[in-house]
Amino acid sequence: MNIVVCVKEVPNPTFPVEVDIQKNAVKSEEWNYVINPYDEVALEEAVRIKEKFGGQVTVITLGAERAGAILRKCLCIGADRAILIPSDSAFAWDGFAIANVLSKAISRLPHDIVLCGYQSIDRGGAEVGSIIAELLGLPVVTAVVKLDIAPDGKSATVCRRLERGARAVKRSPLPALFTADLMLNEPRYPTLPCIKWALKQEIEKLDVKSLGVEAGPLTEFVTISRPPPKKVFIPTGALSPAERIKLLTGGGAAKKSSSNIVEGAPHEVAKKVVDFLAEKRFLL
Amino acid sequence: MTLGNFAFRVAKGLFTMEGDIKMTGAKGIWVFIESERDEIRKVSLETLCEARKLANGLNEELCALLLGDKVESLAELPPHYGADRVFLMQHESLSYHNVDAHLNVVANLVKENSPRILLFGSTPLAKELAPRLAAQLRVGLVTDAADVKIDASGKLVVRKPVYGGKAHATFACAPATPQMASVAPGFMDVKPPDASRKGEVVKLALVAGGKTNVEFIEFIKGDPRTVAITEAEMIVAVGRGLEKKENLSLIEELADKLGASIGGSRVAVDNGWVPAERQVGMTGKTVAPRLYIACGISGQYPHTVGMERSGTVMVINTDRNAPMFKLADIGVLGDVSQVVPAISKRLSEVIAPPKEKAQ
Ligand SMILES: Cc1cc2nc3c(=O)[nH]c(=O)nc-3n(C[C@H](O)[C@H](O)[C@H](O)COP(=O)(O)OP(=O)(O)OC[C@H]3O[C@@H](n4cnc5c(N)ncnc54)[C@H](O)[C@@H]3O)c2cc1C
Repeated sequence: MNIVVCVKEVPNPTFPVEVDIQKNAVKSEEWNYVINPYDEVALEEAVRIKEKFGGQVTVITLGAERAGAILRKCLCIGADRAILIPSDSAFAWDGFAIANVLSKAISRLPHDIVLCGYQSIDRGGAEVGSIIAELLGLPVVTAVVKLDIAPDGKSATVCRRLERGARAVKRSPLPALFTADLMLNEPRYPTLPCIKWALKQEIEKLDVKSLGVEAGPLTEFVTISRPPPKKVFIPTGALSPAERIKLLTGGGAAKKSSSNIVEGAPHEVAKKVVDFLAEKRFLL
Repeated sequence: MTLGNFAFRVAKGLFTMEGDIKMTGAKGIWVFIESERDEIRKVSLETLCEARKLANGLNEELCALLLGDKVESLAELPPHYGADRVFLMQHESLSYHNVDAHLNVVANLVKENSPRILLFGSTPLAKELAPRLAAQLRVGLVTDAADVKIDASGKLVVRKPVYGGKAHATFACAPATPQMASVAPGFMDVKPPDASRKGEVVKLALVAGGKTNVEFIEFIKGDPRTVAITEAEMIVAVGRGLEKKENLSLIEELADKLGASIGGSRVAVDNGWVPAERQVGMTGKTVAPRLYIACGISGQYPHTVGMERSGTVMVINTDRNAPMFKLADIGVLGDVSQVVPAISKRLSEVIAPPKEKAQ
């Protein structure tokens, strides 16, 4: 079972995100970088499949030279081969441009399964996996929380995360592409022998130009800004002046007016509440 | 990926308007509409209402794309929210989980009609459908939009949260049409429907199905008792006002009756009433359920940041001045230990015998 895992580096999510309006960029001087958590889960799954079925796990990233560090970490976790496609401007690229480059690179590698993270925690597009699959003509299921390969290695049964805890069980022939949800597994910590081995490995480099990529981004970055302010509560005329002052001085941003307050005997209140819930169609 | 062999025809039906659905050049705004439990999904309505504004600005037509295995009864609704035309295709192969079938149909419709803009609500279906379609058509897509606009040059400009919502970035789609975006739930307002507004319903028939690569096996409904709080559809949350652990059974009864999950404030977690992974707020989870019932929670900022994007909020509290009431769509001034069992009792009267909740 040969598996290609697409990974990327993301800023450590514990670092603050500050926008420099003049430069139209985020202040990133102090940041350090980690493997996108979704990609780490995808890699863990790949290593588990390899341990069961044999084969090779190749990790691949498109990014700055610096991203060699996360590839090294992938080798520590259990990848056999790591490929860096250096690009200084990758962040300015969109999901299509990134997926286009990656799909070209993947098409040169043996692959029974391609795994990606469901989304990146910086840009959060949740699109690159699906686009790679489309460009390579592979079946795809995203947000996978369970992945079972058939004993003959010809198909996979997967559980896809939907909303409200619901799941869809799907089956796909292989080769196929799946994107990993965080619930798929718990990534391991590297062991010392693995770390020692990984330090001796070479990170292969692949030149974008050698891939014959013909299409560029289909969207362009315009601006980055602070999130818009939350809507602030504005007291309505329905409230008494005393209440308005209390609400205004109560602190906290809010968006709704509280004029719909019921009180009285519990059974009467309950009737009103249940009517309200029924009207809003919560009792289906 | 090869496309299936398709042909469309305008079928004669109840609300069919015979006519040429071809438009010249890239014109018009399309919204992909999804339904759930025989209703149009809220995020689809949010997208439709926003798209109406874009259509007004461009002075172009707004079309709703309504595909599915059981959607015909909904076809008259999109015009109430601003659609001028509804493309309706009902076919058993267009079940919710068959992404391949949707992809083939939408790709063909787009190629035949060349809309200028195509918008989706960001749902599990759209998360797979939109990127694959954009890749196939080689057009720009921005996912999970918080805002969509059209700039002076006619480009679709989309703002979306990045870095986990700590910043917002704006992207513009390349001129290739249709320019695409998916809209994140909860950012845009739904205007009250205008039932007198009528639109043309164009009934399309799926003549030949395309190839389906991924086989759908089964749907497993989530169990509100065990589902992660971030995925819950309804949440009953408790705070210090629960007063004692014994009262938790009252909350569980209410939650079970509603099919809701239980969450809590930090105080509830500190008191051992609710497990830590169910804490809502700054140091807990951020949730946006359809219904949030806050029982004895004062509504301090560290709590409300975690739930303020909830759909409908109900507050039960003994203190009229509790800040939590400011977020309430309905507030109950009363004691949790009395009000909650009364609501449960009333619910059993209304929905007795306890209905098997359909999926
Ligand atoms: C750094 C930091 C991070 C924090 N992170 C979080 C977080 O993630 N989540 C979180 O929730 N909090 C968090 N907090 C704590 C937060 O500031 C509040 O202290 C907490 O939310 C209060 O919980 P509460 O509403 O349950 O209790 P209280 O504030 O004590 O409120 C209890 C409410 O119950 C009402 N009440 C009392 N008895 C009854 C009754 N019988 N029936 C009905 N109502 C009744 C009272 O009127 C009152 O409004 C954080 C604080 C800090 C400093």
